[in-house]
Amino acid sequence: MTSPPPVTPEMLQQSFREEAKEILSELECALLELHKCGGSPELVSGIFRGLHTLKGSGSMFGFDRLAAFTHDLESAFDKVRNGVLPASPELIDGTLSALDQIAAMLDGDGSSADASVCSGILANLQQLPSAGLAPAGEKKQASAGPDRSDGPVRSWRIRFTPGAELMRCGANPLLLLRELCALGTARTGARLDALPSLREIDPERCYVFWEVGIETAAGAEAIRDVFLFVEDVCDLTIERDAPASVPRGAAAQGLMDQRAARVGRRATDRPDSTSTLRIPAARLDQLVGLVGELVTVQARLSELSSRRGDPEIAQTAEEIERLSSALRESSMNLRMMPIRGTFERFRRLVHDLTKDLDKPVDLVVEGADTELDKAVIDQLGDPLMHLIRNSMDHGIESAEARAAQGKPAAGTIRLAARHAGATMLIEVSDDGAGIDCKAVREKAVERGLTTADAELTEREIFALLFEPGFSTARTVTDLSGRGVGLDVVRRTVESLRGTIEIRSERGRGTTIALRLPLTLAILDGLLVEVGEGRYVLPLGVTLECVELERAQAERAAGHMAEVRGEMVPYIRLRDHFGVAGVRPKREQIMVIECDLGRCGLMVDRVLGNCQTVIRSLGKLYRDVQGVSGATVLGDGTVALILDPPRLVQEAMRATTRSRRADPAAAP
Amino acid sequence: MSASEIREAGQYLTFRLGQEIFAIEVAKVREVLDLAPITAIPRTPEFMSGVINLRGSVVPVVDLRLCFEMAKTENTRNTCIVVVEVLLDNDSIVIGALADSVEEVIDLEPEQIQPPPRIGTRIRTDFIRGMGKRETQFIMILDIDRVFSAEDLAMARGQEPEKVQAEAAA
Repeated sequence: MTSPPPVTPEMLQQSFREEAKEILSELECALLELHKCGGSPELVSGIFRGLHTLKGSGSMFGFDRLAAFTHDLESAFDKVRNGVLPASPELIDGTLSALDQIAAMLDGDGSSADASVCSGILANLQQLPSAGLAPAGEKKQASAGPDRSDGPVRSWRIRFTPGAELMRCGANPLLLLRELCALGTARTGARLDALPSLREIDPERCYVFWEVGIETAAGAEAIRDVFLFVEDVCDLTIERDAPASVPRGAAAQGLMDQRAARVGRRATDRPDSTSTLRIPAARLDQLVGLVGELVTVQARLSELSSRRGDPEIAQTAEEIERLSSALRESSMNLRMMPIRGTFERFRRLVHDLTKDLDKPVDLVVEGADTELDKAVIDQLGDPLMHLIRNSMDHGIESAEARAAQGKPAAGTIRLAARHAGATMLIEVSDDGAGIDCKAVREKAVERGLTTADAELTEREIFALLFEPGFSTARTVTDLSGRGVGLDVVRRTVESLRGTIEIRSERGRGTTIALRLPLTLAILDGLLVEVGEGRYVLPLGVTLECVELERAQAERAAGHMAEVRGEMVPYIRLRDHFGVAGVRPKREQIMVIECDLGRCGLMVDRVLGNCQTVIRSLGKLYRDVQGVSGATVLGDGTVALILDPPRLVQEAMRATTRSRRADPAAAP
Repeated sequence: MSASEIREAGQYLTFRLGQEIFAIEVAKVREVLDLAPITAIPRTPEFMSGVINLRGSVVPVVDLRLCFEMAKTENTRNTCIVVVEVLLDNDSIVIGALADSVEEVIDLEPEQIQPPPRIGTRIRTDFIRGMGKRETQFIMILDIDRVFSAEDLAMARGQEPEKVQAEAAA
């Protein structure tokens, strides 16, 4: 066994980045919630806690700029928490853009975060009503601390008891004390009461606690700031020493409140750490790979045992079959995640766009707990973003136009996910204007995507929307209209072996439905034979299978077959793959669904259903068109998994090319 | 850039392609398999034979004879797949190489190895790290990383689809 690699600062920083990104997205949700429902105390303190954690761990892992910046935000929310500052929309917007800056600081060396933008945000936050709440960090940096010399010099008594964890998280109590003493004239006494005998001593633990008497002009806030980053791992009491205007009872009460708040914070800061594990995706992949291997071997064992006819072996083989399919199921489940995270991200997008476009829009999220393979989820963010932007920009009408049609002023965009058989159905729908088929058509003619006299069904017209460079918007806006969006959606969905469907009604709205496989690791397919080779066709895109006799095929003009009264073009895979030999008497046409509508793939024989573990073809074959992977069959041979939409595209390109090269050969 | 000179004694696996004997450093070789059914991938160049099932993983197989523009020969019971680990664009990948027969593992001292000749070899000299000699037979020590990163493979990976298709159609 190899020993685990040493923990490097880079690794720590990376784990902080991951943690911070999670916190940022939680913060974003909380802020948007705050914007919608007004400030509940839990929400505000949740935000405060998130910022606090960001700041604390940020500075611990060397993200000093981030920590300083977050500190100022935190101060602002401290005021909100204390009811001094209202949770105004300006504050929320300011904080949202501040979160973007924090995200930028997290990436790489943080140089992508714009310093002037940061200070602009802070300045705006400072100017919010109820002035005098100037961010503390800003002040500290600006001068040597004007708030220290403000006000009269007071005496404070501070007791600082480091907790067991304090030294383990890298804090040095001596540095903290030194910083504290720098605030004024101080007397420090170390107390060794809790020191155990030498034998029991834990060298990583701090047993000493300190009592400090200090005379300073700085307030309690400034003193507490010194211990900011260790607040969670120490006990800190700060008391005004000299009898002053504040009655003792009130001070003690305040102190108790503080303590209560801190205990509460500690309890909520640490969710049940045993309930979830963070595992590198590569390790999961390895496990899934091994399970796939096991399933393949098991299939071979089953085949062998049925051939041998030995009841004892058959029983064992069955047992193994049961176990391995359970194992496969649960290892696949490891990769399943609720789609919530991706969905919730769009609340922010809609919030921002609502303002930019001046169209009030509500985002309704349904089925956010539906689970999907993480690999699929990771790739869904971009397409969904394009679809939502598209709906906001082109779909939803302006408030006046909506009013004129008797629709509610605020548009609704619905983002829904649900399982539909072995696939996942994700729908983005709006109650906007719907798609103007005529405009789409005109535009397509203008762009040369179709001809003016072509007869197109509604479905074919909608398919034009997904052509690269297509946009019906008269003006190119920031959001959409550049014609990249839907093209990206189509390509991503196809690469995930999914399909897109558009439903639209003029004046009522548009629904775009993405149908995706639940996982990228396993595929339900149909095993077919072409010559000697065996291929797997994804079941998700296969509509039906019809038989064509040779005579019938030769009679038909070109490569068209009649399926239920409709003429369907088909590709003979034998020809396309260059397979030699005699064609069988009867061939099968697999009718598949692609963005051009129905299309057929002609194969020699359909061998049956199969559930396969998808294997990549590897780097050497990464650019092969029309084949998306391979799978190992029960008898140990390899079958190729076809990618029908690509196959059709490629075959079409090949025909146009050969037609151009040899016009005489054109049918 | 010339192939790195061989300074240390090493072990080499020798195998035969046609009449010639080639060698690959043992460290690069993962295993030697009997010929297994190879699944061809349509519309790829002929020297890319296809893929095999290696205990559940799908491993690409390349026909070295065609790679070196030697005549294609029939597979015999001696035909083997030498599974090697090569660096392709800084990633380590596993590739199977078809060989007419695998001979033996030999030790070669640096002084037994001469730099590759500039002319007179059947295959591109930059594929050869050096020439070993065993009795009267010359052994060409392959720079296997170079063989698989050459432009020929780039073509197979789709940089020149026209040519690939032309070949497939032929």
